[in-house]
Amino acid sequence: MKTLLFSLLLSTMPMWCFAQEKPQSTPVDGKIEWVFDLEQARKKARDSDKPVFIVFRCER
Amino acid sequence: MNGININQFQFEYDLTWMSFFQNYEGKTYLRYGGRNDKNPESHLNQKSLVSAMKTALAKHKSKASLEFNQLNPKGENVLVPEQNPSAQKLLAKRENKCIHCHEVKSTQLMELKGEGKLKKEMVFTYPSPETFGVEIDPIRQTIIKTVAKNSNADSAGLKTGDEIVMVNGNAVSTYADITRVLEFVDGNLNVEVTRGGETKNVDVRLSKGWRTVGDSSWRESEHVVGPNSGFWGKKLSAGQKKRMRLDEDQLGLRITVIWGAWAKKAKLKQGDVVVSLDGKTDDWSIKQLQSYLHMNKDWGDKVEIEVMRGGRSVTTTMALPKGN
Repeated sequence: MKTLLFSLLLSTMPMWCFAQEKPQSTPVDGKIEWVFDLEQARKKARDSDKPVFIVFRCER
Repeated sequence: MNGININQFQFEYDLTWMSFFQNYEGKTYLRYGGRNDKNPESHLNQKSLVSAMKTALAKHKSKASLEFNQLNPKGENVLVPEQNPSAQKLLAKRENKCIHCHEVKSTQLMELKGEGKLKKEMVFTYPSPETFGVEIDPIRQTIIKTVAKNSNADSAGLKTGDEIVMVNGNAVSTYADITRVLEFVDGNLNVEVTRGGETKNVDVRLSKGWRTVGDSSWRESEHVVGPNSGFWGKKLSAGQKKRMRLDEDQLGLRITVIWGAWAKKAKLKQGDVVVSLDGKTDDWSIKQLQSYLHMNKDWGDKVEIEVMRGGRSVTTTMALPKGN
């Protein structure tokens, strides 16, 4: 339960290639809502007083 | 990486995964990710990620000071990878217009090459603490798991079980934090540790060339700093080596593809088994063989290669063309 609550506390934002279709904010396993726009994630973090967890994932 | 402000997000671009915990203003609480030269996931695991999340939350809650910390970005202005002329040339030929993480670094190196400022050691960014003898615990990422005997760390008095608190005055929480601070180390390294409840300050005297220790073949951008073989290959199995009467720990790479005109000119053929290159017979993977050439040769050099072909040994000299 602690881990689940912790996940909810974090805004997340994986980077993607801008040239491709922009993914929408999507809940993963009903636990984490990934935000795909950095400015939006930062605004959410400010409004909710939470840190932002920013992930870069590169697929070759 | 298109459109990403790389002055804001500076990290080891040869990685395929990296993360940051920041406040809404973009100040960094901690970094999480990174690898050593043996394992791409050496310091990626669920337990340490959960621990990093807890630490980030605690720092956020305590409003920890985030100023004057090397974990933070260095550049003031917005800089995106597409501004790099070498990246623009690369994108012009690419249909999907995507810039991969490692291409941020490789195009930076290409620019330096064009300006005549490129040095081979520039490939070794974000060095692992293993370069001076410290192996970091993959789970508790501020704990020293082992200290290599007779290493710089050993000579300085760092011990197994020490908890690293600060590196050169920067509070560190993860392996990625440590490599970030090491990125800026130029000669002087001070490590503050706790040992048995006591705080100790340890000055580590780094050997010349400490950054370049270890296997760099995983660094995708390495190809910019030196020549390649012009062929790709596959490592022989132990059984295949035995049938060819090669030692188990000897180089044995079957050439699968030849693309370089210089390899064709040296009369190398698909199916040849490379058993020696430049007098080296180390049991390399094809990436390690390329890495040897990148780091030890220059375009314009010549390299002797011995291959096995139809049960016979054939030696040839490959001239790596100038101007690449």
